[in-house]
This record gives sequence, C-alpha cells and structure tokens, in this order.
Amino acid sequence: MNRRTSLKYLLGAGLSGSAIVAVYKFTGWESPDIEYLAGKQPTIAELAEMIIPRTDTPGAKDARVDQFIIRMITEGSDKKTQRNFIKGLKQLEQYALNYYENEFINCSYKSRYQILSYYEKSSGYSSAILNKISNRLLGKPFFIKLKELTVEGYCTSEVGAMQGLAFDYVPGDYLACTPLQLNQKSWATK
Amino acid sequence: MYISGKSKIEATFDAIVVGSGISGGWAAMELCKKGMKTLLLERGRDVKHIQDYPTANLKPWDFGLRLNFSEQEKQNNPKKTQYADAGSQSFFANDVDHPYLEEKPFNWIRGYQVGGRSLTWGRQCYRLSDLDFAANKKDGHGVDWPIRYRDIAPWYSYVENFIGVSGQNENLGHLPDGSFLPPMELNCIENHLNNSIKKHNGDRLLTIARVANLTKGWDGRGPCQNRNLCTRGCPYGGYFSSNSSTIPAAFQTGNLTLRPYSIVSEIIYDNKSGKASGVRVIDTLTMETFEYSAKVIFLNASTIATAGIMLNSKSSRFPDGFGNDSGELGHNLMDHHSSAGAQGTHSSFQDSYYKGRRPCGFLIPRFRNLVPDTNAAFLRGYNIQGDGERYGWQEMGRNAGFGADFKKQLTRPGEWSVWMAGWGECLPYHDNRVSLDNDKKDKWGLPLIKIDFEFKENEKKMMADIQHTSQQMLADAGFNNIDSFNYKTVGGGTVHEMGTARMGEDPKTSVLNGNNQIHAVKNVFITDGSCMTSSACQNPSLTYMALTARACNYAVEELKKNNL
Repeated sequence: MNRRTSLKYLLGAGLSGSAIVAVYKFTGWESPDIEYLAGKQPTIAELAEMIIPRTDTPGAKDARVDQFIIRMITEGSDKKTQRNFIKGLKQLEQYALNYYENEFINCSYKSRYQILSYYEKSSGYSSAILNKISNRLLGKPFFIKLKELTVEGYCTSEVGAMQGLAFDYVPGDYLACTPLQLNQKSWATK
Repeated sequence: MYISGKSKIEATFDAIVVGSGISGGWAAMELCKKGMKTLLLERGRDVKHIQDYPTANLKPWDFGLRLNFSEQEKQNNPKKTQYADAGSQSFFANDVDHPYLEEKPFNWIRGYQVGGRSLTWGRQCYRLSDLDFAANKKDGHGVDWPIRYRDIAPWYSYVENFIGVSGQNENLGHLPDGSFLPPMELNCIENHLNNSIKKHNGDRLLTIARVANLTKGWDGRGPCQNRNLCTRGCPYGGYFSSNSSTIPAAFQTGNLTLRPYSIVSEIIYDNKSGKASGVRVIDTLTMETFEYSAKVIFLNASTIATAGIMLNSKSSRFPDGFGNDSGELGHNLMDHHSSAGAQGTHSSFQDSYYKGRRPCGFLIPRFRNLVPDTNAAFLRGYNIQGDGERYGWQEMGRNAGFGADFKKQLTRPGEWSVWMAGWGECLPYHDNRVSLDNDKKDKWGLPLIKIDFEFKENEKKMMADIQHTSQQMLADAGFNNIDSFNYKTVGGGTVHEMGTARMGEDPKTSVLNGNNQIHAVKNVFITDGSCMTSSACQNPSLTYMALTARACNYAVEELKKNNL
C-alpha cells in the first residue's frame, strides 16, 4: 500500500508539466479518423485472428470479432481511446511497410507473427503501476486495447462462447464441486 | 385495477402507499390483505412480472455492444452506467431526467419503475440483532432505537416465510438464524477458506450467503435456475421482487389500485384533524396534478426521495417539512461502505470445477466489537462478503502472448480465486444530510434534492481493518498474489441509503416512533430505509420489509380502534 502510494508520488513528480504538454501536442485534439478505421476492417480481422486463431475450435474471424472491434471503437469508446487506437493502427501499418515492405494484410504469416511479437513486447512498461498511470494519461496502448477487444469480442460471440468456451444457457442446478473433465473448457459467462 | 392518465377513479381510498419498491410492495400487500382499499403510487412506468423483462433471455451476443454501453450513453448517464449493464439498464433511472445535486460526490442509484429497486437488489437477507438495536445507546452516537430484536423477530420470520430465503442457520447471537429454505452450496475454494478461518480464528466462520433466491419452488415461483441474470428480472420468478410477489398478491385481493407515472409532490396536512388528508400527485406524462385522500398513508419512496417529499410538504403547522418538529428530517443519512477488502489466487484444487452460476457468494459474519472493547480502533463492525471462482477469460485475457497457446489458456479454467470485501456500518452523523434546493427544479417543477454525505474517521479506520483482516485470512489459507484494496467508492455506492427520518422514543430528536408513525401525525407511516436509526452492517432490505409488515399490522389495529 505505502509502496504503491510513494511510487505514484514519484511518478507525479517525474512527469513535468512540459512533458505532458508535449504528449498532448503529439497526440493532438483532432477528430479521430473513423473513416480510416472502417477501411481497415480486413486488417483488423487478420490481427484478431493472429491473437485468437482458428484451431480445433472457431477463431476470431469465425466470430466476426472485426465487426465488434470497429463498433466498440466507433460507438463504445471515448475520443482519446479512438485516437489512440487509430493512431496505433496507422503506426503498425507504417511498421509493416518499413520492415516488411508490405501492408500488414499482405505480409506472410511469419512476418505478421514477428510484427505482433514486437508489439506484444513493446506495449506498456514492465511495471503495473507505470502502465496504470500511462493508461490514464495517454489512454491504453493500441495493442493492449486490440487484444482486450479481441478477447471480449470472441468470448461473448455465439461461436466463441458455445464452441471456444462452454456456454450453459440455463444451468438449472448449481453443482458446487465437480471433477474437472478432460479438456474442460471454461464457462463463457459468470 | 390499473389507472393512468386522465381516467377517472375514486379519489378516496382507505390507504395510500407511495412507492412500489421492496417496502412499498409489502405495504400494499399487507394493507390489501387486511381489506383496505389501497392506492399504490409509483413515479415510473409499469413493469409486469415476466412480460416486461425484455432482456431476461438474451445471450451476450444478442446485444449490439454485447453488455457494454455506448460512449454517448455513458456520457449522458454517468451514474447509471456505473451500476447497470446493457441487460439491466432499463431498471435503472436515467441521470438526464432525474438530476440531483451533490455537495460531495454521491452516487444515488435509483429504480424508477413499478417494483423499484426490488428488481435489481442484491437479495441478501440478514437479520439485525440486539447488538445492532442497542448500539446507539451504548456508544452515544445517534439516538436509541425505540425497538429491540424481540419486537421485530416474529416479523422477520413472517417475511422470510413469505418471500423465501435460502440460507444456513449458524446459531450466532449477533446474526440471528431465520426461517430458511435449503442453503445454496459453497464451492471447493470457499470450503477451504472456511476451514482455514475456523482453524486460525476460532471466533469467525464463513457461511453461504442468505439470499431471496429460491432453492426450491415457493409460493408458485422458482426454483432459481442459477443463471445469475437476476437484475434483468427473472422469468422463473427465482428471486423475490415486488413485481413477482407482493404486487400480484395485492392485486389478488381485489383491493389494489396501481397508478404508475405518478410523482407524489407532497403530503397534504389537514389542520382541523391534525392528520394527513392525502397526497398531491403529478402525472409525469400529462403534467396534470391530482389529489388523493386516505385514512392512512405509507411513505415508501426510498430513503432520499421520501425525505424529499416530506421536506417539500410545508404547511403553517410544519414550515420546515412534514412532521419535522425535531429538525432531524433529512439528516443522519447513512450508507454502508463496501470499498475495502482483498483478493488472491490459490494453486490447489486444480482438478475441481463447478457447474451453474450461483447467484450469491459467501458471508463472514461480523467478528469485531461483539463485546465492548475500549481499545478497539473503531466503533461497530463489518461483515465480509465475497465469492470464490476459477479465473475465466475475463482474467486470462490479460495473459501475455497471442496465438494458439494464448487461446488455449484463455479458454481453460484458470486458477481458483477469492474476492472479498467488508460491508461496514456507518455511524449516523447529523451533518450527513439531504435538503432541497428551491432555486433549481426538475422537469416537473419540483425542487432538486441536494445530498451532502461523506464517510468519516470511524468508517475509514474500519476500512483499514477490513483490508488487514481480509488479507490475513487469505494468507492464512495459503492464497497467492494477495492484493488488499480500498476502492474508496463514494457515498451511495453500496445503494443502502438509510436514516433520513429516523425512529426514536423522543419526538424532539427523531421523526418516527417505534411503530414507524410520524410522532406528530399518527396516520402517516414511513417504513422504507429512511426510518433506520442506525445502519448496522447487514444488508437492510429484510429489515425494511419486516418493519413494514409490523407497521401495517399496527396501523390496521389502530384504525379498528378509531385511533387514527
């Protein structure tokens, strides 16, 4: 508790006013480029499929996670999240062009894998507290948000809940302690 | 009979009940069963059992944004959207049409429809004991309750037997046993925690929550199907609400008239008789004003709204609000705090799971200050509520990685975990209060309610103790990754507002007497949370219902004797 509080103070002191101003300047206050987002639906579908691929159960594409992500960014997010997400997506495309000479969607599986590995590694600090503060100031990093929405979109979709997970629509009884079955999937809803 | 809009009805009844939530539904049923022609007024729309639960059978993918709110909805309704989800949102009052003023941050979460918050309540049912009823007298905070456990005990049984409460008797003096249906069951990790607590702390135990969810069919309802979607309204009638139970029972007598869309703006005082003659009502759809009269009036609009109605009911006899001779009306607002606790994971029981979504957790009954302790860091006490479950995708989604391995982890049961937090007593402070701002009006021209509330030192010290004890109990039981927390939720966060028209022996320091009558106006009864003299730490709805049934019985007896 105390350690956490003092860390916060340290950080508050460390982030000088000018740093914050610089960050806002960089992020800008322009309207989020929603049109760009809509045009990138196939790319988002591929990104989501990399996170939750089709295996012996349906994957993110089967669950139409791309539709959910675009709706959540468009209707279910504040401007800061929208800007962050769209900016992050543009940066990812730039990264793909710079290092793999292709738009993400045209990259080989191996290249895509390397791109996601890079993003997985570089998203966020190693410290949970630093991440919390950074998220509050700057919004969630693109890849963290993408992964979150992919997981939620998949696990609350019909194929995700019913085939990827175990969906018990009307349980009837509550069985408090049952032996775990072979290859037991977790419950889709709490 | 239903009335709405301009339809003509008799303007005179035997009884008027203001508000159709958990206590108003009880008042209406009890009065109707005793042969009283009763008018039940509700400010919101009608909600009929089952047919008006539009989301009850929907699956997560049936919602546009799944269970999330749109950004616009969140901006328009910053309070409602913290407490509801897309499945339950139609049973939460929207912030746009129902503004209020916050002197300090306060979440006033309301359910403006027939059934009120009985549709979305937590369903926990715990009796108060004499440890609670005598608490104010012992330490001098607030005024003494005018009743003791023996006065309310038979009414607790009466209510439990009607609504159906599942639970386990534990033979504790400070948390009395009740008339219970078979208990819900603890799962592996909860049993493990219970055993550890008994071993390490002989004075404590863990028991399954006592809830108004039916473990067997009861009064034509249920049983509970373990869907854990209660707040959408239950098509199985698996839990108690006014809509599923008391209001239909009241209708069955033929004595009930229900009038939705009816805001009560004031209680009308009759100087000649020294009684209330009736109420003034604004039809929320037509803006027309109506007056209804009755021999007896029950106010059950909910703690803050009831105080608002009374403060707005001014007369030459009561210039400062109806029945407000003491000056205590609107004061002594309380809410439980439930911000502090701890969570952790456990590496055992990897080969065990559960089936079904039990609609409740566990309870660790109060263990602090059961006997007077002058060295205690704080007064009164708390109980701990929580639940155990295996991590699911909601937690496993935060794991590192992507691809097939990540997916496999995501879709398999994760570690066992327990989350638990203390539900703590809040002392009755005179300066925690609601008042009216006559310069600011809502769309019906009624003054806005202003809420001035904060938790103080005693509550904060208690929260620190909760963090400590919760963490210790988890550590003793071998949990890992233990995180003790204090969310510092603002007042109103537990949605247990109480105390704005407290009961007491002395008319100079309280608003209601031991029968929930206004001291100076004997034909007005208040039996919602505003009557509470202290908050105890138990979830309060069961007590409201028991006090309501008791007061209804008394009111009808008094009427028969021509005393009202």
